[in-house]
Amino acid sequence: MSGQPWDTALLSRIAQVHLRARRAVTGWTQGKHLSHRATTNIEFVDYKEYAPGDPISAVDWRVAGRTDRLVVRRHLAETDVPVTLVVDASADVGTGTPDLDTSKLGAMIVMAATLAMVIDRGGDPVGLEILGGIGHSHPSFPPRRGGLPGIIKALSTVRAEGKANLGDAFRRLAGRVPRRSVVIVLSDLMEEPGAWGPALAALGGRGVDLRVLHIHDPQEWALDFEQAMVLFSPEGGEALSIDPAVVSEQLPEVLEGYLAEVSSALAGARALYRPMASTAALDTMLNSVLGGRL
Amino acid sequence: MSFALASPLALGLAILVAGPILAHLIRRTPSRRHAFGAMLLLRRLPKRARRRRRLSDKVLFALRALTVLAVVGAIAGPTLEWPGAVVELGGSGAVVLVVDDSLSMALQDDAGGTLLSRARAEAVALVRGLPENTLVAAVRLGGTAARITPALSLDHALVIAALQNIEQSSLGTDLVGGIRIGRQLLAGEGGELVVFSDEAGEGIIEAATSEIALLTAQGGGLVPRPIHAKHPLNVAVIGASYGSGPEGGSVEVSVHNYGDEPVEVPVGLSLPDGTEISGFIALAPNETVEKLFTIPRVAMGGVGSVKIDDGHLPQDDVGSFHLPTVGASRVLVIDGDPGLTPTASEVYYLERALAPWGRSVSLDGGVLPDITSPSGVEALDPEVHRLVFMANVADPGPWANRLISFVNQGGNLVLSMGDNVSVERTNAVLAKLLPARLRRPRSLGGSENDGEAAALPDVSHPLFSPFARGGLAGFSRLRFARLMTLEPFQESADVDILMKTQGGLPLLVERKVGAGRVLLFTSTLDVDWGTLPLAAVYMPLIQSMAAQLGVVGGGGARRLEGRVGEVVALTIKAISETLVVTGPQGVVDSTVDGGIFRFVPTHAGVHHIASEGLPVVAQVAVSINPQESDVRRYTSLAVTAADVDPERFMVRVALDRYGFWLALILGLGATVLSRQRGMIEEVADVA
Repeated sequence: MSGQPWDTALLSRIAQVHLRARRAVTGWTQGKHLSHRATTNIEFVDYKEYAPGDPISAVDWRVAGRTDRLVVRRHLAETDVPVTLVVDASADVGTGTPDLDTSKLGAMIVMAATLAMVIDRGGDPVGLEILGGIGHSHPSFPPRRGGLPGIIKALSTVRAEGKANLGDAFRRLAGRVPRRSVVIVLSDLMEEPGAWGPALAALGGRGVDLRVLHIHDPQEWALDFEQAMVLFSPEGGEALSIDPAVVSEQLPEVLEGYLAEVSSALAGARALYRPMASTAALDTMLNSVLGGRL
Repeated sequence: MSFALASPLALGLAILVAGPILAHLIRRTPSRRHAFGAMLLLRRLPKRARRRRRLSDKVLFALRALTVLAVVGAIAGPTLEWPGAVVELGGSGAVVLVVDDSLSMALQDDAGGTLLSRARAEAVALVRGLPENTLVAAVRLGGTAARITPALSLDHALVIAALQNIEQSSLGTDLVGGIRIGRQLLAGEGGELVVFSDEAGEGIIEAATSEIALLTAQGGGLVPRPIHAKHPLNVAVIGASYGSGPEGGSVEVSVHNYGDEPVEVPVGLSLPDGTEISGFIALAPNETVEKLFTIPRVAMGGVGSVKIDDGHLPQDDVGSFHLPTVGASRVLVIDGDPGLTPTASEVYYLERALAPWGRSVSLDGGVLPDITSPSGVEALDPEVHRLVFMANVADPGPWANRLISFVNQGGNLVLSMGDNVSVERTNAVLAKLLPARLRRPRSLGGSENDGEAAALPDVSHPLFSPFARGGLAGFSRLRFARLMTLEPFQESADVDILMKTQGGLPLLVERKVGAGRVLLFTSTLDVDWGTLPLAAVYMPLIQSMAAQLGVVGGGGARRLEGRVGEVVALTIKAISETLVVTGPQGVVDSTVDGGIFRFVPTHAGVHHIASEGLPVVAQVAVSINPQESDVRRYTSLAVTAADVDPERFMVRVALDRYGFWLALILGLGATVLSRQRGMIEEVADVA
């Protein structure tokens, strides 16, 4: 995943995501996504054909009188919900299948880029925090409108490297992101929940809407290897000689315990937890994270 | 077969097999490394699960472990040993050829000849292949082993001729004697004893162990040259004997199958009178079957024979047995004094002595006499009667010539005295038969019980032989109050006093006349003159007379059993020096030494011992030595000899080079398999 050759492909992919995202947000109406405060100012944006379900008060009767068409005035809601995307680009995320569609890092980049575009198109300020990784110009993009190009560029160039240090990252975010903002974390969470759980809980305690997309490689979790081998983490630590035939019997129990710890930590932070395989469809990921609430 | 190691300590290197084991336990670490993003999970695994290893790739491991073991085994110098090495003639300068010409060598071999013919051919070929300066001698094993060349000789042609002249015998295998003679020929100077034998028969080889040891100790060497039939088969008659049974009794024939296949053989019984009885006997492998042949109610006594036909070793397909006269009345009793009461007649006692169980069962063991008065002596039929009791007859004149002719032709006559006997008439007409002229009756005491006692007779005489096992003392209790005295006479070859009183008066005198015999009893066969009819010895004595004198061709002939190759001996009197033994193959050599007549039969069958023109003295039923009929091998000469001289007879095969080759093959296999697995792994990596 750390290889450069697919960067152009990433850009191409992002372009496709851009189009897909644009189609996805078409028809979105103001207020459909979660807002933490009441609308006080309305700024006209454009018209659209009346559709059943649109509030009748939004019909522009003057236009209807002139053109004999029912149109609805669309306004920009001044909810001003900053969204911060946290992308885990640590070395562990770069393992597994080196494929943009199905690798952990590829899935995170595509997903983050899509979210950024969706949020930007929704008019909300969007920012980006890259944990670990190399190759990108800036690891941190505070939420703001019009920051999408920088975010896309950073996502297109980042390569997995280093450690995420989720606990430190969540603590930094807690002092940086505004209250009542949205933080979407894309990570494999391959750090002990006990190390980052309290920091995330503190972040959630600040009224931040936390949404965690837990990306994993199905092959890794199934230990889908034919022969015994030595497995090691790119982030360092003890290498282990593993016979899949032996370990695969024990792994489900370990995995169950780990996921229980993760769920517990996220529940303590009142975060929306969405475990997702890196091979899952993009739409599925979007729906799981947005859930029609953003 | 045994297994030995030249360097047993090298087996300690087997510990090296731990190498492949450890390698397969720990080899995974350096082989494949893979970046893994979920190490957090693996670190949570129990340590024992993480550290547990399997013997990866069991086939590869097995190949590697076997490779190590094969190398270790090869280094240890394994040797496989078993007896049976064909010892080559070592050019010692002296060779004795021992040829087995025993009966079992008559077995047909696969080429159509006999084993003996093959042994002869191989022996001759061996001699022809020897260097000219090799001393050679030859010995045969049949019966009693003997040299067929006088000594070691450089004249190979002489030895070859002797070998070619070896004839098949029906005798046993004297392997011990053969090796001993061979050893003596070599005279401790070293040399080789080449034995051509089928090695058949139980115990024959083992018995020669000590001789082989002596031969070896004296520097000689035994070189076995087995002459085997591919599938040795033989069925033999191993016994035949007459016994009781329905009708006229039965003959039990024992037949043994020495082969390893079930067979059914025809068997025929020939009775002395020419009657043939046939049947079949089915035998499982190594089984003895006894078959009973029922004898007719009337059968002539003598020696019968049994014969089977199995196609192998015809010499042991025959057997013989003694058959007593069965059923037919062969005794004529001429009653010269019928008496007023039954007990006053000699016939009363004679009839009960000859047929003690009565007429109804007299055919089964007893002799039913024909009884007649002197006027009915015309009933004497030389074709039927073999023994005539003439009891207390006053004047035998009218038929004296008939009696004389009867005796001369082989009939037997027992004359007993009594008050009716006319001394003058009897002396006149039966002078040619009487052992001595009658003189006059003489009283020996005031009453019967006070008469003179009898002396003990000689049990070596066939007539008294039944008393050899007991009852002889009964003769001493006999009392004779009156006897017919005899004119003085000299005992001779033809006249013999068989029984006397304790005072020396003749009681029973025998005379050989022509082909028959006359027994003169000087007392009465009833209780008029003595107590004989009331004594315990009376019945067995009369039965013995009937048995010895009442059989055809036997007369008083003794019945003996013998085996081919074994000495048959019997006690004879001086006159018997002219005895001749006639067997199935003609006259058999015999010797007389110290009153003992000896001969060694060479063939199975009936052997008659008789002087020319005289009755048969003995009939010998000769059978084959069953050991020779057993054509199976129980052990080999090579095995037995190897026990004595193991170094000479062991076949050794060093297995070290095979171990190295095996290790090489296994190692190559392991390498190929390892490489193959490696390529598969690489392909997997690329994918």
